[in-house]
Amino acid sequence: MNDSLFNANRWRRMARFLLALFACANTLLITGCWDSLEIENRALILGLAIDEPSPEESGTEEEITYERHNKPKKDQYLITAQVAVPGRVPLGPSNSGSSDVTKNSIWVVKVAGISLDDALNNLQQQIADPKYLIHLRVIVISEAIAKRGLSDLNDYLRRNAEVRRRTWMLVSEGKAADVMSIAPPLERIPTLYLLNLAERAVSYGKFPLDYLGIFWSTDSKWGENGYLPYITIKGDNNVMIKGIAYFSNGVMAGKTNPIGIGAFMAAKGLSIGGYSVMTEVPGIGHVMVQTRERSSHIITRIENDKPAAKFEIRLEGSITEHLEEHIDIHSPRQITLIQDNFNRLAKGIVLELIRDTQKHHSDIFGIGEIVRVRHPSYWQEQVHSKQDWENIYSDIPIEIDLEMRIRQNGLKN
Amino acid sequence: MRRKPTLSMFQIVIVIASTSFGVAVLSFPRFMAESADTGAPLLTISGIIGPILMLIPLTLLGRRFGSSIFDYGEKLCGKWLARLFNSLLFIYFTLSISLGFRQFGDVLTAVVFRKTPIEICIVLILLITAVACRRNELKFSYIHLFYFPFSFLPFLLIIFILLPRISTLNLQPVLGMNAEHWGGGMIKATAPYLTTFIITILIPIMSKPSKAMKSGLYGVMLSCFIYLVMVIAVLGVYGTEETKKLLYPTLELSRSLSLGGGVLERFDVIFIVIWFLAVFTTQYSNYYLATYALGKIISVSDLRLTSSFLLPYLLIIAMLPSHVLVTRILMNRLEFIGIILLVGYPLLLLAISLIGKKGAAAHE
Repeated sequence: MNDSLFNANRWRRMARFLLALFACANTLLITGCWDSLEIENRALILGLAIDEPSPEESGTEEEITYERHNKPKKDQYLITAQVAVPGRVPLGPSNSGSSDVTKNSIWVVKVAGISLDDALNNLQQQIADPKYLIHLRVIVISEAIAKRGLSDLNDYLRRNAEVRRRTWMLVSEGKAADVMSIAPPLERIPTLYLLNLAERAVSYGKFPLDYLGIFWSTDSKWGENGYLPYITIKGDNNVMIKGIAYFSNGVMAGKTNPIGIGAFMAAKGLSIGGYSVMTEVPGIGHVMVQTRERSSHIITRIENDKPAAKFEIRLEGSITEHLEEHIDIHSPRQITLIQDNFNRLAKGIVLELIRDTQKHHSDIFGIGEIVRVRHPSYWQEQVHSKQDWENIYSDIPIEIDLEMRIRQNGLKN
Repeated sequence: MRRKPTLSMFQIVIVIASTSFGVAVLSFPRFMAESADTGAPLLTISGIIGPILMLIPLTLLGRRFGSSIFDYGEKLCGKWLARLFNSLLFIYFTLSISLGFRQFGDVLTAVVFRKTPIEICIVLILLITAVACRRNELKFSYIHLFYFPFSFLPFLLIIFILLPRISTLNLQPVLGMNAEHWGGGMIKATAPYLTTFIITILIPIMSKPSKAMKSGLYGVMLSCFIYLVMVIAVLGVYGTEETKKLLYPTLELSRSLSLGGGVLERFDVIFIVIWFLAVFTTQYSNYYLATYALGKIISVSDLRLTSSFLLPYLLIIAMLPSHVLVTRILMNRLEFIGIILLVGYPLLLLAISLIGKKGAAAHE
């Protein structure tokens, strides 16, 4: 009897030992070895520029996703990718000139393709390491592509699990590839320069927060249209945000000038102010007023079976420059005069922006969303698709009530 | 003589809440948005009706008989009918586990492990769950209690961080616009709570069985609260149309989080880990119910036997669907059947028990 008990214990111990061994061996299975890939072995694509190819460039794509006699599509894209060379991206201050460093740390590759995924497959065929879009921060598309339509591009970007929603998409006036190849002295990597351009603009109140995820959310809504920053190259090495590119029906419908951005932000009441307007005030001269804070309400009502909207815009600002020095600004009456002039001028600017967007059927202000919420029965009857609202928007009466309160004069008496 | 350790009311609340918070979390807001547009929060709340209808008979009967539904079913409606229903319950839970794990594997291979075969993901979580099922009900509850803070609190944290980004315009009109799709939506809203059936196994070890209904109710409400907050966050940040376009809206929500001013931008990797815990606790309850049911059907009281026995069959069933969309369709049908079975059978038993009582009183 004692013997059999002793044997049972031994078997149990043996079984436990084997199980423990098995469990340790299992740790090999759960380390994700299949998917492990060292970061030096990846080709990190930092920025993409998407253009229409010129005739010599199109037709250069290889038969990677289709056969030439069976070519599925005619429309094409020319992709310029900025690939980071791992280990060469300088992390600290460098001794040599910035352009040398840029040349070494970034590899610019151009490929053509019949769709974004096709072009990226062509790209992969050319570069050795597996491409990795997780660090894609900036996508620049040319105005021509934006006018052609973004739905194909957006489809690939949405499906890909690597692409971040915090990527910025910028519309460039000329060729997008040119934007990618500038080497500004402020940053060593052009993509980071563009990224900083966009993000600093947001923090200084020069542009609303509008990365790709926000653009997608806005453009999906039936009562609102999306917009993107419109950039252009100034001089040799500078990129400027030139306005807002607004979209309608999935394609770019128009663009604004820089002060249009200020008008847009005022109309939406986006709070960090940053734009200045110069007004000529009779009796005082030229005064530059900078907006510090904005707030806005949109009030809608239904009149004669059509919605009508009224913007109530309240701004706070300060005087930053007064050109006729011999005239003093010392009385509240003068401030009121400046304010009235500013109000009239700013109202005109905002109205012009609104009329432009109405003409192009692009409701970037989100009036449609407010109508949907405040007048749901009207919305359910009249609006059955996004295009319905885009058409209705083009001829609804819109009024503006804009008021600026000047709070400060600066440090000069 | 030592008193047998029991579960307190608070512990039951946590176990129930942790059970109903599971795989569905990732795509739940999308289903709500598809059915009810901006009425999604209300639809989420309406999902609580199903579990209440299920909890009432389960707790009343459990209190009366002091055993699980598999046992008192035999007493109430006869041996063979109860065996039939127990088998149906067993089949339901088996399919629920398999499809749940399959969905879990689909998400992992789409987002995190692109090259790893899906079989490995499913086998590993099956093994973990099967090993965890070898314990009695008390240890089962302790495991739930352990994991609950790790899966629940980070969700609250995410939503709290995202509060400033919620635009109330996206959440109105509160009643939503299309009332026709609410029916299908209600099935989806009720489905996550079906696993709270586990309460029938836990009542026998409760310290105060009279409080069972209250604890179950609080547990369901806690879980409903987190679902509601999640739906409001997703809808408020994205709006209904964008939510309908996202396959896993909650995952996208965690993606758009950026902590520390850009230091941590890919929060979804951490989120997947938290979600894994939530999935594990839900499927653990499902697996426990399946092994318990199988044990009752073949009259084996050792859970270790049934738990190990089920393992290969669950893997096979999990690998059967050929595509993500097929899994979704199967899951829809299963949920519908599940609601009828899991709400209907206890109500039926309750009815029989009430009629029986009246009959007994009349005879006396």
